[in-house]
Amino acid sequence: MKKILYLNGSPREKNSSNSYQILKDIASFLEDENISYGEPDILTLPRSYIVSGDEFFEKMDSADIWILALPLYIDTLPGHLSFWLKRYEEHRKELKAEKKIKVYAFINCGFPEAVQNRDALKIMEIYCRKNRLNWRFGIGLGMGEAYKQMKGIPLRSPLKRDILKSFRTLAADIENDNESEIENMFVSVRFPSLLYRLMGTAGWIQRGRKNGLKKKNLYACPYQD
Amino acid sequence: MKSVIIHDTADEFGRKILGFLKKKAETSEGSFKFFDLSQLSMEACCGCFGCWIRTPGICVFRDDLEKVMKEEVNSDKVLYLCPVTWGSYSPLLKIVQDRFLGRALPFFRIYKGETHHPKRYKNSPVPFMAGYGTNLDEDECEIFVKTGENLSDNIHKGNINTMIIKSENDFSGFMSFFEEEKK
Repeated sequence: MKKILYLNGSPREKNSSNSYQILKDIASFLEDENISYGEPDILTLPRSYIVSGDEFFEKMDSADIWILALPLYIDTLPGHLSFWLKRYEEHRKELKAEKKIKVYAFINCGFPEAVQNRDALKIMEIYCRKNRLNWRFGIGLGMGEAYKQMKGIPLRSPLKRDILKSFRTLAADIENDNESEIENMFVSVRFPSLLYRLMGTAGWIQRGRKNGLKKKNLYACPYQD
Repeated sequence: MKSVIIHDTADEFGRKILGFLKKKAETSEGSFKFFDLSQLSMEACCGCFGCWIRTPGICVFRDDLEKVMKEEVNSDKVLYLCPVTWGSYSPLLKIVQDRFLGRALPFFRIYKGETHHPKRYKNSPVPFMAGYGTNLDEDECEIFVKTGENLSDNIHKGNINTMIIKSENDFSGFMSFFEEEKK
C-alpha cells in the first residue's frame, strides 16, 4: 500500500482551517474507495518558520505520495508555506537517494471563481519540477467559505458533484501508476456566485459588529498621513 | 517624490542589483527609503482576518512590518525586489504581501470579469515588482509577471510594472522607477 502524507499548508488552527477539512474529506473518500486505511497522517506545517524541520522532512521523505492542501493567499502560496518548501528544497539537495514522490495540490480560495487558483497551482508545478518531484495535477477550489459551511453535506450530494468528480480523478491517479499528464481541475460547491458575494459581504459586516465595529469602521485608513 | 524599496537581496546578484539601486537613488530627485527584509523582525500571517474585522487596516502582529506599511502607504512609488522563486516571490517578500492584506477591504468587486477586493487607500503608490535570477525558465518568468498583475488587481492602484532581471543588461528596466512622476 502506498504511503500517503497529507500536508496542511494553512497557518490557521485545525478547527478553523478549510485546508485541514479538505484533507480529512479526501482521506475519508480514499478510505471508502479502499485506497488507504486507518487514521490519515496529516502534517500541519507550523506558522513559525524558525523551528527545526528535521521531523517534518523525515516524514516528507518517506512518503510515496503528498496530498497538499492550502489556502490561496494574495494569489499565491501562504508565506510560511513558501518558507517550508524552500527549506525542504535545501534539505532535498542533501539527500543521497531521492524518491520520486507523487504530488497533488488542492488550493482553495474565498473568491467564487475556482480558476483564480491557477497561478498558485502553476507555482506548485514549477516547484515540483525544480525539485524532481512527480507533479501529477492540482485542484483549485472556489467558494472556500461555502465549502466550509457545507461541511455536514455528504460528498455525494448534487451540491458537491464537481468536488466528488475531482476526488475520483485523484483516487484513480493514485491507484494507477500512469504517467500521462492530467490537466488541473477547477471546482466548487454548487451555489450562486451573486448570492455568495452578498452573503460574504453581510458576513464581514456581522463579524465586524461582533468586535464592536460599525460598517463604516471597516473602511478605516489608519496609516494614511 | 517619495519612494520605498522593499527588498530581499541576500545573494550575490541581489547585492549587485541593490548596489546599483542605491547609487541611482543618490543621484535621483526625491527621497528613497530602503527596507532590507532580512533585517526585519516579522511574523507570518496567521489568517485571522483581524486586519479586516478587529482593527481594520492594522495587522494583529505589531512588528517591524507596521513601519514598512506606513511608509509604503504614504509614498508615491514602491519597488519590491526579490529572487524569482518557482515563479513567485521569495518567502520573505511573500510574508510581506500576506501581511499587507489590510491594504484591501473585505468586500467584493468585479474586475476584469473576476471577483477581487476593493482597495482600502484612495491614494496608493505606483507599484513596481522586480524579480531576479540568472537561471530562470520561461514559465517561471511568465508566472512571475502574472502574479504581479494579480497583486495589482487586489492590492494596488494602477497597473504594476513588472521586471525580470536576468543580468546587468536588464538594469535599464529600473529607469522608470527613478523618473520623476506625479501620482
